Amino acid sequence: MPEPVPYPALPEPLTGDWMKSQAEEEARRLAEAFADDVEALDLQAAVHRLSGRSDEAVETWKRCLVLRPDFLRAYVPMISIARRKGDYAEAERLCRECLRLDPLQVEARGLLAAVLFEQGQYDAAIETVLAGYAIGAVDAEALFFQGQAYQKKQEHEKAAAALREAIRLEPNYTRAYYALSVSLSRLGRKEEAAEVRAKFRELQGREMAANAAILEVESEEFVRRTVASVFQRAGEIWATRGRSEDAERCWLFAAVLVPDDPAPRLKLGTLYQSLNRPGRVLGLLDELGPLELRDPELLRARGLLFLRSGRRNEAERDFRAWIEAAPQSADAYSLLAQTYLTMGHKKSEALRAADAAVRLAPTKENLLVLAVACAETGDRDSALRIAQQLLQRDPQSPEAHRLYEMLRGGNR
Amino acid sequence: MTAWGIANEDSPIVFRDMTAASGVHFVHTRGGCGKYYLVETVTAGLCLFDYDNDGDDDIYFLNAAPLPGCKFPVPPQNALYRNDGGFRFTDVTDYAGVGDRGFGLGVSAGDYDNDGLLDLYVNNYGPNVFYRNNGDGTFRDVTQQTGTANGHRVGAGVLFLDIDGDGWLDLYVGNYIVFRDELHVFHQLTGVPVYGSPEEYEPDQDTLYRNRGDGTFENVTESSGIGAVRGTAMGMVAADFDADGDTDIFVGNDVRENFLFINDGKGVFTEEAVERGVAYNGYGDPNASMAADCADFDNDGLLDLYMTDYQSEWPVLYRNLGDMFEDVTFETGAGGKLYPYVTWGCGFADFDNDGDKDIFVGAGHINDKIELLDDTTAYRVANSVLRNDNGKFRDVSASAGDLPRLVESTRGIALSDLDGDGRIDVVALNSEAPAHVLRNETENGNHWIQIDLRRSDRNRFGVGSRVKVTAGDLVQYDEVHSGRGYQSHWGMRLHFGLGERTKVDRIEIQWHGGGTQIVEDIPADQTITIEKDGGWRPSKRG
Repeated sequence: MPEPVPYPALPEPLTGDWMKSQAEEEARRLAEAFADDVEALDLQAAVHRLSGRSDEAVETWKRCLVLRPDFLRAYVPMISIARRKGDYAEAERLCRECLRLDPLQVEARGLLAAVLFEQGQYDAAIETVLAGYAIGAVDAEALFFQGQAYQKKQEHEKAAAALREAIRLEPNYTRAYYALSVSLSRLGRKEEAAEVRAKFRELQGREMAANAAILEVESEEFVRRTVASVFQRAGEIWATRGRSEDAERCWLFAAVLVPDDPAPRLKLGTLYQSLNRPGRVLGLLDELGPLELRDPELLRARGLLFLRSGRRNEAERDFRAWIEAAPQSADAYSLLAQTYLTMGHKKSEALRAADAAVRLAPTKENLLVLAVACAETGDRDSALRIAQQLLQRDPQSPEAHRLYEMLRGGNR
Repeated sequence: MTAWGIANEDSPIVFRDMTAASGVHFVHTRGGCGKYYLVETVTAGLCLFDYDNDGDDDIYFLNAAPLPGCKFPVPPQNALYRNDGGFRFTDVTDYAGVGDRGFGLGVSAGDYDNDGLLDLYVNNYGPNVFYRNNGDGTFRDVTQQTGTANGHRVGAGVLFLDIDGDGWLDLYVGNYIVFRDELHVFHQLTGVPVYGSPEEYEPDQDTLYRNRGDGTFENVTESSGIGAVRGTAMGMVAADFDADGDTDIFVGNDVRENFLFINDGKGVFTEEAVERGVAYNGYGDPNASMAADCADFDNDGLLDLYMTDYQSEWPVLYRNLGDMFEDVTFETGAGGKLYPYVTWGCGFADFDNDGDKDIFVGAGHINDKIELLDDTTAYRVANSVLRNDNGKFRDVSASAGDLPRLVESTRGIALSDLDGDGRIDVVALNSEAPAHVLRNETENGNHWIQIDLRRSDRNRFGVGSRVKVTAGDLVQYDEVHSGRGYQSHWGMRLHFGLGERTKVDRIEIQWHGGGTQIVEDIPADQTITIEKDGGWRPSKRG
């Protein structure tokens, strides 16, 4: 039987400063409970930043790096703050430090290219991007700044090439279209430039409309969503450290702050499932079931809740929607196959889905599902062959052993 | 000595705060009382002009008016300070009759009736005011006679310019947004009140009035092409950007693409900002453009543009390439250290008289409680001076005398040699605070010349005329503007630093509307008047 979910009551009126104080209190509580835990400190730093205390945020992220020098996630916000304060020397230093620790840090490379470009160091900006390109670690942002730097050197063919590559990686990259139109103009390719400029204006018009829409929402709404995201993350940190009650408290609070966002309730559902509280899960599914979701992550989470609650038809619906939203997701096919296998009467559909999953990602887990699907559809030879493959790949795998023994003994 | 002149590292640009001793007691108010109307953030500009024709610039400050629900014991009003010489000023507002109590935003001065006296146009939130200079120290409100009230709109910058070369100054009136008191929405963020954004309101058309030459103006907004676009005008400047002999118009728009109206010579304009590269910064971002000024910073004969904008946006220096502009902010360093701040009034001037144009920038956030939300910026900020060294700018504010300790939230700034010593001084209008009057005390022995253009028939102050000054290997260009910076006006007297050169070899004037004139062999360190079709003579000094 579905049980009601114990959502907390919010004060009336709900004010931004109260919400912010709740986020700060939660971040403090986490940091106290896990004083040397970089995830907790990272969240506290983020809350400092949200509250406009960038110095405290930077100090907290620096502590993260003392505790765990490979906690590279701390660099990007520190670089952004340094840049925002106009401290480009510090921004550059942080970028280089981050890339020294891991040259594959794409975002830091893009930021370094930007910082160098804005200091007028065009050759250095180009070199930075080329170095990243050589190891496959550049994003559209880095390529945009490379294009800008080539423009400054009047190398417009190279600029156009870099900018086209940026657009290939990010087809709606407004800034890149603008820069490309400039280079094409300088190259005398006026018609092409006009076409690109038209695309730029179309994208920019969309961006301005989106900005206007955001502004129509009261600014307190922004705070509400931001604080909700802090509580979602806090819940994850509590949960992974075994503090289920605190995780539940955080996600319940996030759920009431953003009732139109299913994410906190999906997390609650997963938590209740792990705590073996099916009534609560069903209560949540009654709320979540009718929602039309499009985000793959949310579809995955809800589908799993349905599947584990025995509501297979709804699970099937979500996993199919997930595949529609992300056709290259092997996990989606694999979970759909598992759903079909539990249904009993959709074995051939299970086989097709499992086969698709393996084609997209021939992982051990997906091969196991395919082997089971083969066996379920009567193709024991294929199932055995896959089980043998799995054992060759990982001779210690208990799942592969179990499957192999079952198939060989004819005892499924 | 190079064609750029050389700045002496040992003699920094120095500004001394003369406010207390100057007699300028103007205190600006933004007209609010905690309701956070957007218009509070954008007031106001100021005007340096020689209203009494005594040879030195006087100061006219704009002020806001009480917004709905707000009461002030003494209603704020605009103020005119007469320059008495020796950095002493006298408040002559009441006598002059220019103490408008409207919500002041932008202002400019120009001789619209060709009587040799500078008149004033004030662009308000609400009806505008046109003051005709009577020539006896007083002004008369001619708004209705001239037909230039411009309805009940939110104003911005103002320009006097001769759009068709007929010798009668026309009037460009900027309009910010479509706003009425009842459209106001109160915003707060985590309990901290904040101002809204122009994106919440409809953009507005600017207004162009053509001077009929009979004391009246005709609204030609539509027929001139100006009305083809709507923006969120703020600072603006008119100049011959494409060097074809007529006056074009650059309009900075807040959080929208800027406009560059290209004149066909007959007063019909085509908006070409995107094609010519000044609609956006170099990234293609529509900045929250605030102020605009133009000058030839690289002495190549083309007028370049400088534009201020919002926090986390670099001010932009656009180099004029002839047919288009290029954002050269980063290679020139023209952004200084201003990225964290909201920047407002800006202006080019050769503060160290070394033969190239430096930049002065006023700064300060729109939100008076911003530090509670974001400690990477500040509401009150010291203004900046960027020294031009061979086309590269260096922020020399820290060593600029009193400048770094004067921390306010500046809006308009205006630049002029107020004491006739050949060094360009600064006046800053600070939001909700006393104004600053700064004397330039840079000591480097460099030479200079200042030029007043005059003609006796039409366009008496030569607005739109272009001047080329040659002193040895140093060649500089400038143009007479009316209206510039942040909704302000200054600089009808052209100023050129000459470095070590003690004389000017040649001055070539291309008079707006036609005619070229050359005068030669003028000793440095003086202010001269050049009459059209006449010679030169020392100007009268106050």
